[in-house]
Amino acid sequence: MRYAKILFLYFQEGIEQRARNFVYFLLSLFGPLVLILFWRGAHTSGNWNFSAITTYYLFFIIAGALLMAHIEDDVARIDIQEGSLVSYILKPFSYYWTKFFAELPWRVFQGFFGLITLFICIIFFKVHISIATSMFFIIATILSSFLAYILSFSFKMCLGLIALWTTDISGMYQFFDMLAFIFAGYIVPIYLFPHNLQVISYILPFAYMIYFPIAVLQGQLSTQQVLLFLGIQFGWVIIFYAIYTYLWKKGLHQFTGVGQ
Amino acid sequence: MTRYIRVYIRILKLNIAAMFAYRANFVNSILSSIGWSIVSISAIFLLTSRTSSIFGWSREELLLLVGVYNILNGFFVAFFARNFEKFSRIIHYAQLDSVLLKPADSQFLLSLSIFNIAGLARAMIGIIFTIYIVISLGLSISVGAFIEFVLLLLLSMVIFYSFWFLVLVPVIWFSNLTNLVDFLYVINNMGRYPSEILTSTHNLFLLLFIPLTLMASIPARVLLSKLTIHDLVVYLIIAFGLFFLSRKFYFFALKSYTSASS
Repeated sequence: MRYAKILFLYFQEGIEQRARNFVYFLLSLFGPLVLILFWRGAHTSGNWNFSAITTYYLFFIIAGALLMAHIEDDVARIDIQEGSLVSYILKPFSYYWTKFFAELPWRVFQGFFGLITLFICIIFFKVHISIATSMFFIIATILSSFLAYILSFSFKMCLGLIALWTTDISGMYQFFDMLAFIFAGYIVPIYLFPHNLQVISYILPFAYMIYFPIAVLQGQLSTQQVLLFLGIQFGWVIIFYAIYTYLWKKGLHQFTGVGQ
Repeated sequence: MTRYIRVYIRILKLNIAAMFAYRANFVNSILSSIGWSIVSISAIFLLTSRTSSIFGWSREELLLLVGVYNILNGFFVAFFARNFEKFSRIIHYAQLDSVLLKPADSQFLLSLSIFNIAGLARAMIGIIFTIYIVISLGLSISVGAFIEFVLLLLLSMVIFYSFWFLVLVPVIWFSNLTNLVDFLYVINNMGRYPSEILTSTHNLFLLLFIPLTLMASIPARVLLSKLTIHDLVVYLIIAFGLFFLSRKFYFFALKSYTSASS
């Protein structure tokens, strides 16, 4: 119930900051949109078709907005650099879950904008969307989306907490942003990657933050692959939660808050 | 004019001093700048791995485009990008008064007070990569074509600058939209692709972004000997039109600026 109150408070903030929220959504929208326009002019060669690619990028708009947490700047800059962490430490709430429920409304609002975009494309631009209709794939999509959000959130929390040692995480942030740009499927769907790059992508955590739920929904993976990758995704969630717990325990000794 | 040159030289000196004061940050910025140029080139390799051409542009031509885009983006990051990041914060925290009260053009001070040398690393990667592609395509570039290329890059910089300025000026009215800069960083990437991705849509909203897709493709056309007089005239009109519009819009918006006790 305590966390529900936090969630509602941040929903109110999300509504109050709707213009900012919308601009943030535009960040998730424009990258995939430009790539759809790019593929319109492509000469087909190989195992892809324009309809599947369009569906992929439209789902990517929603997944990018809904599942990719952007909490690291909040944690590193506002809480650690500027010292707001003090107010969290003094309260009888878990820092992780407070931040989790503070971030969730922003994801929900932006995901909602993404859904509206999808419907506009279907209704006005007659875009044909093809998805896997079997109950197994739909349940697997929901489950993998849920895990994807927790994974991206835990990963970004770890990234933010590194500021307890380094103060400025912009370099590290840029580095992981570059990796995610390639391996989370921002540029092209991973199934279109050369084989070796596909293998690397499925080992690293980035594909499980956005790409994997889309691939399941599009029916790009077999049942065995879905189960295997769900296991790996769950494994990454456990790993990053454990890293977060470790960083929090060790890092708090490094923190000095003044004048809060 | 000479006064502004003197002021800018002093700004450069101050920025270089700051660079040596924060060495770790400087190294970090250089590395991320090089990293992003490699990523943007890799993106085109990945995008073209399953297709032979895009809107009539071959893979090598698209790589040339991304090389030119990196040159342009590198110089933009070096001279302007950080200033625009600061611009929205200045408005948001009502610090514009101190800029307006200085005895110099406020647009000049807002646009050029920070120089980020790390951007030059990206420009260098772009230059090296462009030369490599020009050689591998077997293009022969005359001195005239090279001068035309450099002049068109300067015009592209005018468009780049004016577009960002035009989009950011509304922050004077809506000061909480500080994330508009992030949006500009995303739409910038349109510059890596041929302008046909937008012109082929005939969509009025998307056509607004055409200047961004022309910034690299027009200079690249010179290297490919594909530039027509018509392209050149339209480009000149867009560049000077956008600059004039952005400056007028800024001074119009300033009339609505209300300080908040700074």
